Amino acid sequence: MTAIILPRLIVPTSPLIPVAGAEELFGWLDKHDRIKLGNLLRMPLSERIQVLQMSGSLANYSSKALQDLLWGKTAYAGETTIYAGLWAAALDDTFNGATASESAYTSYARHAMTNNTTNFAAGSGTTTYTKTFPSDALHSFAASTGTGTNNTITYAGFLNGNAGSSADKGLAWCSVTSTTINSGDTPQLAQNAFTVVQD
Amino acid sequence: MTQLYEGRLYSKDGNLYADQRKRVGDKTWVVRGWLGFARKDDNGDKLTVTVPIFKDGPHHGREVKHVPGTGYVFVGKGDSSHHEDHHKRFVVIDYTTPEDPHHFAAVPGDRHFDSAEPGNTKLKADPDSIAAVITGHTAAYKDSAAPRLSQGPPKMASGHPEGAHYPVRKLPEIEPASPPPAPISDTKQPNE
Repeated sequence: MTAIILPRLIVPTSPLIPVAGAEELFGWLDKHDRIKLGNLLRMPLSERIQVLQMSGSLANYSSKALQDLLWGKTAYAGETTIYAGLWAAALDDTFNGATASESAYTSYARHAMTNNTTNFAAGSGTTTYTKTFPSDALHSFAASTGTGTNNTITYAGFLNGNAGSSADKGLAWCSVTSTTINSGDTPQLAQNAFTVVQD
Repeated sequence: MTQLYEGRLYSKDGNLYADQRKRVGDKTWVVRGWLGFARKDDNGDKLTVTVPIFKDGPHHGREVKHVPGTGYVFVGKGDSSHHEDHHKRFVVIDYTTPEDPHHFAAVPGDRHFDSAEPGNTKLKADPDSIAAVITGHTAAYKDSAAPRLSQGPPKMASGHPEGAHYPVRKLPEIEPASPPPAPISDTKQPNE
């Protein structure tokens, strides 16, 4: 007999950053892709920002904590545990533990990760510093035992708490490839699937 | 006795745990100095540190699993975990080994039963003997009229620049059914 696990990798989607320099790539693209990229370049700035927001970002809470530490030496001790959550609707920088449409497939629970250098190892790079996580291995949520609600995952968020209320502050978020969690599926975060870039 | 749990959960390594940690407040203090040496004067080297204070409930961290039809229950000593239950529930049979005990091990009375062999099963087939009989290439070579190696290499085909190891048969010439299509005169491509 062979045991079959039904993993469902939560796959972050790449940032999409339309810039004028992308025209240099036109020679390599077919007509369809040229039109799509051209439309992105001609978008009004506000809409282009919306496109950028689809990729992911640090959230308001973590941005403030890091800025205040850097400028003014207001201490930020860091979080003890970081919780990964799954959402079936768009997140933005304001998200927190009470943001609607968090997944509720049967047996869903936020995935707890101790905030240390095992799970979040040092990054690499100088001009662009990149951290990827989870550093140690693939991480699994609890397997689904029923469809429940909000089981089509489109966004992932990382929080500093698990109260299920606005007391849980959002740290970072990103869109992911739409993934439906059916009964028997185990959502998983592949090793180093998530990337945070600081230039 | 099964004990139900209703409350927040967190997951780790594919298992579920009761989360009864509540934030009860923050603790803030001011640190002065560096390298552990306190300074009495305040010259701007102070650091304000705020750390949240949590209080754990009596069941915080206890392992929980979901039992369909029942709910979330605490995992007792010797009970299977949520992750192990998942494995049991979604085990599938590999069709190369059907769920028939005779296919896992011979039982007494079977034609192939042999208690001296691993799995109580006699060797049913000898791959070497099968290969010796079935290998078509060997048999074909042995039975064919092809020259043996001891008779030297086969003759080269005449007229071939590098020769050939096998007889060359000339194929009939094929007349083209129609002349090749004329080149396209308008080289401008659409959408350019």
